[in-house]
Amino acid sequence: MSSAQENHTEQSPGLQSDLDLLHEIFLFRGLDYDCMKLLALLAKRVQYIAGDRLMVEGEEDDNCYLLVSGAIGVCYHSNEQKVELKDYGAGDFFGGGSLLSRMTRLYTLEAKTGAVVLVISREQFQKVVHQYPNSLERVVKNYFSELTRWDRIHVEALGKEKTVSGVSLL
Amino acid sequence: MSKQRETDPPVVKRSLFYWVLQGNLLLQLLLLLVIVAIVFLRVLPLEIQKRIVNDVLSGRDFSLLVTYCLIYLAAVFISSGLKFAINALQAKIGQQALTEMRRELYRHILRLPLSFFRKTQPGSVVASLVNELATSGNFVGMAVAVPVTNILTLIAFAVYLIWLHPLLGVVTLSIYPIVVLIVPMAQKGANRANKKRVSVARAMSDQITESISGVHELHAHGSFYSEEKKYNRLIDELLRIRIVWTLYRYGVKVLNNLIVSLGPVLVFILGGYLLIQGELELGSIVAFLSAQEKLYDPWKELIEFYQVYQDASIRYSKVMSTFDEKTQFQLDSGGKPFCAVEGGVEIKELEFSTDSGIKLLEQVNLSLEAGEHLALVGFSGSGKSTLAKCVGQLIPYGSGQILVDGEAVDLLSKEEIVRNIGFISQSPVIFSGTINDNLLYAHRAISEYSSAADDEPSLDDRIAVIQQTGLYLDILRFGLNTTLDQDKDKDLMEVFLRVRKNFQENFGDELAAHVEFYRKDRYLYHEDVAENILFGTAMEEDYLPDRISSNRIFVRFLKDVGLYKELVSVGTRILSNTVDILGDVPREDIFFSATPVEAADYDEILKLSRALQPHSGEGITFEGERKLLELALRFVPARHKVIELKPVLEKLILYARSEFNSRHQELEKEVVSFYDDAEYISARSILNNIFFGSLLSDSPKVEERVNQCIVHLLIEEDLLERVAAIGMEFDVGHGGDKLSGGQRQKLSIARVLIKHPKILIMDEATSALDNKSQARIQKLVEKWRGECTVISVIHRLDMLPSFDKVAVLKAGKVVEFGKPDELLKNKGVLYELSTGKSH
Repeated sequence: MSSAQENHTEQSPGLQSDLDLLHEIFLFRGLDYDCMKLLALLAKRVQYIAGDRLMVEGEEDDNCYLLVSGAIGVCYHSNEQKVELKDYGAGDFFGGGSLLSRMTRLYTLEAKTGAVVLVISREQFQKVVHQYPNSLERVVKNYFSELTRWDRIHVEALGKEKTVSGVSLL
Repeated sequence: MSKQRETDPPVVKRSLFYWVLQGNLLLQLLLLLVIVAIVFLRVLPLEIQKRIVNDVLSGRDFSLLVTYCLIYLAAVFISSGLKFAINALQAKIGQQALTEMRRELYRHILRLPLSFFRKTQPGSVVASLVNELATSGNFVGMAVAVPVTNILTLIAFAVYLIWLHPLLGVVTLSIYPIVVLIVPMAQKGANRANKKRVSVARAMSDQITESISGVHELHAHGSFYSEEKKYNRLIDELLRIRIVWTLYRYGVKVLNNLIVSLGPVLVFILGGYLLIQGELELGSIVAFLSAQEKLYDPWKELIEFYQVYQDASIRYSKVMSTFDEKTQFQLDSGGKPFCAVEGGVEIKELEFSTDSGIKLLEQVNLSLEAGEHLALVGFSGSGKSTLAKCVGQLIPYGSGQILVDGEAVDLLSKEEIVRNIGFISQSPVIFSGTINDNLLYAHRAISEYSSAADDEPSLDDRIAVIQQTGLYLDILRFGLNTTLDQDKDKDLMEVFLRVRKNFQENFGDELAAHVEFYRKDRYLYHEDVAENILFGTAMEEDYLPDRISSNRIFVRFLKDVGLYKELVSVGTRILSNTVDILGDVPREDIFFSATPVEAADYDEILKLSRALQPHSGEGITFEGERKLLELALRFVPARHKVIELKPVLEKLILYARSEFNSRHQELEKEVVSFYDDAEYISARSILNNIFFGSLLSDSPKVEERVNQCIVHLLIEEDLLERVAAIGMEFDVGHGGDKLSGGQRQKLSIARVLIKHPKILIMDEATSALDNKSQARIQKLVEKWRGECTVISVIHRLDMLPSFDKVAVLKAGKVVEFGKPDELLKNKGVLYELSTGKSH
């Protein structure tokens, strides 16, 4: 019989690859290894086919999505006109904000091809981070530093145009 | 206004004694005969007794003694037999009467006007029909037998005693008139308490009904304590009353006992004196004492009967007075029913006020040509729903007239109304039974009236209505989720096997990425290890998922094929990885979604994990090993990320599967029904059987696509209607609780549409539906313009264009009436309603 101790490093390859993927996400930077392992264990791999909607503009859902493979399009509606924004691929991450609080989606995510997506729900996330002290604080910090980065990009863009004064995304 | 046929008095007006002879005359006569016989047989032993003492004992004639004893015995046996016969007859008469009372009263209650039920709780009706009437039934059973038997017995004894010795007889009997004087006085107190008891018991059942039917409000407001208080007050009150009542009742009994027990004293004193004086024989004294004792039983029975009578008459009159209200409409037309040919509706000077005098409708004047569609709009409380109900004869109007093709609605029988008018209410009730039962509910109701029953709508008609109301896909889904009966549906199973083959041929490749088909040689990643080995549905308890790891035969099999150790090692990996990653998380299911370990078992698993540590010194026990096996057998690769299935093990499991199969095919007893491409799995639904696999993703698109494929095939095989027919046999549960709100509403619309009424009344019939379904029903109704007159209470003004006319109600009056577009142009009240001020 092997013991738990001996097995400490033996991770199933699927779990290990999900763990590697999650490590790349800005939101989870600096989190405890054990905390990440638990998140990776609970994250669910979901298959979508072309045309499936992951999230819908104007609706609330409680998940974040990490694209493992396939292509996903982002679009929103302006004056009842569908505006296609951009297609995303493997490694892209959406909806992290809803892990922290309820959010109404600003855009629609639609699978362009068959896609495999890693999904974590707010409930799972909240339960996990509560097991590891300071984790939530770390995630919130990450979230704000990402917002600041966006703000900087925004300000710089405004500076180049020199037309209107900037509005902080914060 | 109402036409009540008055052949018999209405049930609520009948006295309790009505039921004694009603329909029981022959039985009661038979009973009387038996009673006369038994009374004779009761007196006979007394005479025998006397003769034994006087003649035999003094004459020492043994053969005479034997003869008398035989006669005595025969009298005892026969009278016991007859007593049993009396009880049997009594029970039959009583239960028959009770059944009749219940039948007639329920009949009456169902026909009472709706306003009655606004002030009466269902609990009262239940208590009345189920409990309170039972005593009346008992009484009716006793009503002839008990008084006649006992009075006759008493008289017979009395006559016999007086015949023996007039003076002693009269003195002995003189105590009974005293009882007759005193007992009723005590009984009065018991009656008072009993009346109160019935009232409080009823209040209690009302209170229970109210709290339980509103239990969601209790949970919403946390009003548990206050509801308990209300209830407790009542049961405390009931306790007090019951104690008083019981004391009075026993008081009556004790009083009776006491007085009657004084009898022997009189016999001793007077009889003893007379014996000493030589005026009486010893045998007579014995007979007197014996008779005295025998008098007691009939007398006690009479007193008890008196108490039952008092109790029953109080309960009976309370019950009957509760429901003593007139029914408002005649049910049967009593001839050829009127059939509206056109369906024109005219309302003249209509008025309606509540019992308390509040006017809900006033001076309503409307006229609709046949086939016209009218929308009733207005603020809530404006009377639109009341108006619709008046037209549908659900509530009787005060003055004015509603004419359908010139016939006054209030003079039409219920039969004529339901033949011509269909009414769909806002919160319809679906009844227990199948979809089909509910679909045909209104239609069958009409057929019950006339002897020449209308033909039931054909399957095509039913399907058409179900399609129109948007229930078709739901019904197909119900059908597809049905498990077929192995014995009855053999042919159908064959057909679905063909569909399975076609499904795999036509869509197998397309869906391969999303479906895991059950193939003998493929591992099922979405099923657990046990299912992968069995590859079928367990037919025996020992092979069910929660039992299989302790099934010795199965464990031996695993050892035989060399899988046991492997699986225990899989279990160990699951255990160590789970403990490693989860650590000491709370025992909540959410943490245990990716491991076969269950939250509730986690403490046991942690203990096992400690025992498995190399230096723990404990080692693994038999139970521990079985636990590890259980974990392995529950392992589902697609769900349980905690470990990965190794390809070698996968092959070994597939080998075990084929071994298990070949070993069990030979057995006579079927422990598992194997998944076989060529066999229908009777334990699974039709859908599973066609599909023969499981879905790989939660994607709604995939599910939709699979459904499309299946429907496509069903159409090709001309099976759609059969599946729909199976789906219509779906049991909707009590009050339709297995259906969604929308499905219930659609079904309630469908059951009215299927009877093709000439006039259709919709009282916010679509308000519970989503926008799409609402629009669908509205479109459907619109198609009948010119064919069927429609009166529809609507709350969404965007529906207006599909109506010919609109009536705007305000405080019970029609303030505007006309074509919708014209009224909107005039910028009156309708315009006001439609622009902003609407509710």
